[in-house]
Order: sequence, then C-alpha cells, then structure tokens
Amino acid sequence: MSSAQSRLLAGGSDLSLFGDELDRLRAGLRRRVNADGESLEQGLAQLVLTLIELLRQLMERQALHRMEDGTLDEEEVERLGRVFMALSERMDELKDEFGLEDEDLNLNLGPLGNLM
Amino acid sequence: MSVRLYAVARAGAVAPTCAGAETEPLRTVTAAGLAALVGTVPAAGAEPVTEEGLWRHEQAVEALMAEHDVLPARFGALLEGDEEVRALLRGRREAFDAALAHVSGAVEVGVRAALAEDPSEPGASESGTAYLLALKRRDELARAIAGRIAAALRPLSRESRIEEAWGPGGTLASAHLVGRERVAEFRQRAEQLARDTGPAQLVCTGPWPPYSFVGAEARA
Repeated sequence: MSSAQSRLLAGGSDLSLFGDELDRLRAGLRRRVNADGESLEQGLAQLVLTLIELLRQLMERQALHRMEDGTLDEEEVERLGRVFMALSERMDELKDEFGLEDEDLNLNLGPLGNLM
Repeated sequence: MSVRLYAVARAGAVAPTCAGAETEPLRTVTAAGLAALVGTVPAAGAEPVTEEGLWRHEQAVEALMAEHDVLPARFGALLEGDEEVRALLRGRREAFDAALAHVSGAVEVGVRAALAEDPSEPGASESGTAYLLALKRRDELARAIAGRIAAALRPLSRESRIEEAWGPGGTLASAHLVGRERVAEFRQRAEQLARDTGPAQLVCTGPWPPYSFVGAEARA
C-alpha cells in the first residue's frame, strides 16, 4: 500500500531530481540512527563541520546584504567572493573526506526548526 | 522492554490490526480522554533501523488515520511503559486536544521544488563577483518559487509551512494541512503550478499524516 511512488499526487516529470534525495536519506538513516563506537570520531567531525558551515553561510549572507546595500566597492566584492568561493570548495572537500552530506551538517533545534 | 509510540488520538480509537515498526502487535493505551497507539518492543537499539521499519511505522499511523484524527509521533519515540504513556497523555492533555482539533478531518500534503541543476552550489566561477551574484540569484529564485507556491496553495490549506531557502540537496520544501474534502482540488492546483514554475520541477506527494502540524506544544 505505502510506497514512495504511490504517493505521487502531481508533477515530477523528472523524479530522478528527487531520487537523489531518497538515496541520501537512506544513507543518512544508517549513519545517524544506527550509530556505533566507530562513528564517534565521525560524530565529532560532523559537529565541528556543522558549526563551521553555519558560520560560513551566515558570513555569505552578510556579504550579500552588504553587496546589496552598496557598502562594498567592486574590489571588495571581488575579494570577498573569492574567499567564499574557496571556503565553499574547501568545505566540499572536508565533507567528502568525512563521508558527510549536506543533511548531516544541520541540527534540528526542535520547536525552532532546523539550524539551516 | 520499551513501549514504542506511534500516534495520539481521541479515546475510543481502535488499534489497527497491522504490525508495528518491529512487527510487534499494536494496541492502545487510554488516559485523559486520549488514546495512544503503541506497541511493546525490546529495549531501545536492539533492532537496527531499516527502511522497512520506517514504512511499517508509517502504515500503522495511516491505518489509524483512516478512521480517526491522529497526531503522528516522530519515528522512534520510546517510553518505558504504559504508565509513562498515560502520564504523557495526562500531562499534555490540553496541547494534544488543541492539536487534534487543528488537524481534525485534514491530511498533510507535501510540495517540493528542485532545480534541474543543483542550486546548492553556484559552481566554480571565474570571478568572486560572479560567485556572489550567482548566490544572490539562487536566493531570489527560492523566494520567488516559495511565493508562487504560497499564492497558489495557501488559499486551499488550513495551514501552510513553506521554506523560502534551498534546503540540503537543493530542494525547497513545503507542507500543507489540507481538509480531506479539498485534497482533489489541491492536487489539481498543484498540477497547474507544476507546469508553471519555470526552471524548477515540482512534485506533490500525499496524503500523509499531519507530521508537520502536530504543534510545538504537543510534540513529544
């Protein structure tokens, strides 16, 4: 009765776009719920990377606001953009290194919703 | 032994005959005019969590929802015994009553948008300025799509929760509490919307138990 496919009400001519999401969900389920001793180190890395990712995104947003406000000159915009581009690439490398997905770098804050 | 919680309904709700997440039989525990759908399972962590277990949890909640208004519990809610379940029902009676009234006769329908190109990463640009501008466009697109979803579907919903920023994996999620009598109309509107969201693909799923509308006070 209940299968992911049978619940499709509308849209989704290209479900593969969302299929990735399901695969990540499965992997995340194993990783997050069925934890064991081996994953302790990974858990610490996950927590640290989550905080770094939060700061990175906050700073990116801040830079965007300042760009929109016009308080940065062209040279500053270019320099900041390069820094954030490099940070984003480095973050991807770290995620790969620790086998983490975007979903893992988020915290559920209960009634406050998600961290990001 | 632990007690696995599936859902809270009004007293009088009858436990469905299907099995629970760990294939255990289901029963109800009643207190304070409320009924909790539960199953007795071995201690926490004895069984690995599987996708099949998740679907059995979902099926148990849906079987109850077929006949009654329900507040679905988050997957994996374990209590020590029936007395703790009764204490939970008594302690949160008002919050549960209010939440049940809110979801009464309604189901949850999910609408998600995704871009053919993963928008979570603007990609390597030749310049820093281009990177920031790409970020800005990506943010604006998310807000625009959220706005279209809100304009088209909020009027048909009792309540809508619509994210306005790309989530992990580059999808934009929204959940809608829709009266059962309006689900067909909602679906039609979602189909129209799916043809008209520009570069984004839209997918609409349901009906689901009202997981997103249980209310912060009622959440266990």
